[in-house]
Amino acid sequence: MNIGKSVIIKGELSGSEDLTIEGQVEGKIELRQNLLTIGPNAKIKAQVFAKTVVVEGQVHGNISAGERIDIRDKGVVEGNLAAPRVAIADGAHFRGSIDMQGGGAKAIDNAAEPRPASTPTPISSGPTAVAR
Amino acid sequence: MSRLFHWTAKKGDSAAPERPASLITETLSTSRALPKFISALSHQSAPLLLDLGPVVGTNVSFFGDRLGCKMMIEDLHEEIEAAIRERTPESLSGRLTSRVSDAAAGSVDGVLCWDIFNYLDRTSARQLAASLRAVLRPKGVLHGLFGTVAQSGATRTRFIVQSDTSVKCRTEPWVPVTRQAFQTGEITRMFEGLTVVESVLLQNQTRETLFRKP
Repeated sequence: MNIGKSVIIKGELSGSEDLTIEGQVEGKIELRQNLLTIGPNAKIKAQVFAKTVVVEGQVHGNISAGERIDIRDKGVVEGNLAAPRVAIADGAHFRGSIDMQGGGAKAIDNAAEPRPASTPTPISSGPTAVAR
Repeated sequence: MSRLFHWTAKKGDSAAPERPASLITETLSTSRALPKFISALSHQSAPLLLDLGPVVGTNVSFFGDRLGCKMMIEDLHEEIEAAIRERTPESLSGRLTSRVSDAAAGSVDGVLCWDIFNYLDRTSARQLAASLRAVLRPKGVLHGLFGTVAQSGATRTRFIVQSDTSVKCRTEPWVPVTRQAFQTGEITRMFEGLTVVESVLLQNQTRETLFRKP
């Protein structure tokens, strides 16, 4: 499943299949059992929860993953990371904290509000998009 | 502080210069303090580690695997670079202490302070040292790498942990800046209140010091 460059979603995005985002999302993204790829053109201002998260674009917000977070060389993340494994490539930009105490799944379950490194833009109460 | 900086960069210049591979040099150093730093933290459950340099994925993976720690990345190079580009050296001290103070007082178990102090004047360096002392919890440790050679140039050094006892030093292009060299005694005085556990001069003329908060 792909969300293209021209797509803007404000609200909650959840689903049960792997997803690649190239557009903009503000709000919350939840793919508990799946791979989320944030493509090179994507701009995300959201709390992100997934099994595995690959970041090639920009994310402002906290990311929790049950298995792994992978920030690629052009990826930009300002927010806190929680996952058992975190990989950050040379050239990636990151500001925030990293919790690798196997806390990704725990953080998802608790759905706590980890302190963002920078305050994200307030979430709009726009329409809910559900990818299934 | 303006003498620290070469004002060749104009306000609003784009980000860091291109990095031709030929300008990147790497050396490998043997560390005596790093094993003690790791040992001090490995006795604790889920220690909190504060890294003051640009994020290095290898280090994140290393400390995550080795210590199961939580890491806070507060890249002070960003603030130093911004102060240079904006020509606002007077703002630097506030910027740095603000970033460090994101951590609560007495909350941090370990600090990685690598290639930071050489770009600061004495006042900023003392204030940053005081802030770091404040965020460390009792028995907390600070691992510092301080250049001992004053020089002008457009490079910075990234330190990449290879093992408990070895660190790769990568010199890479950066903004034009003058590097200060503080005497060992002066560094110790800046961190007054912390105990020096280990202090050794590495082969690449970097002073490696391990401090512990009593």
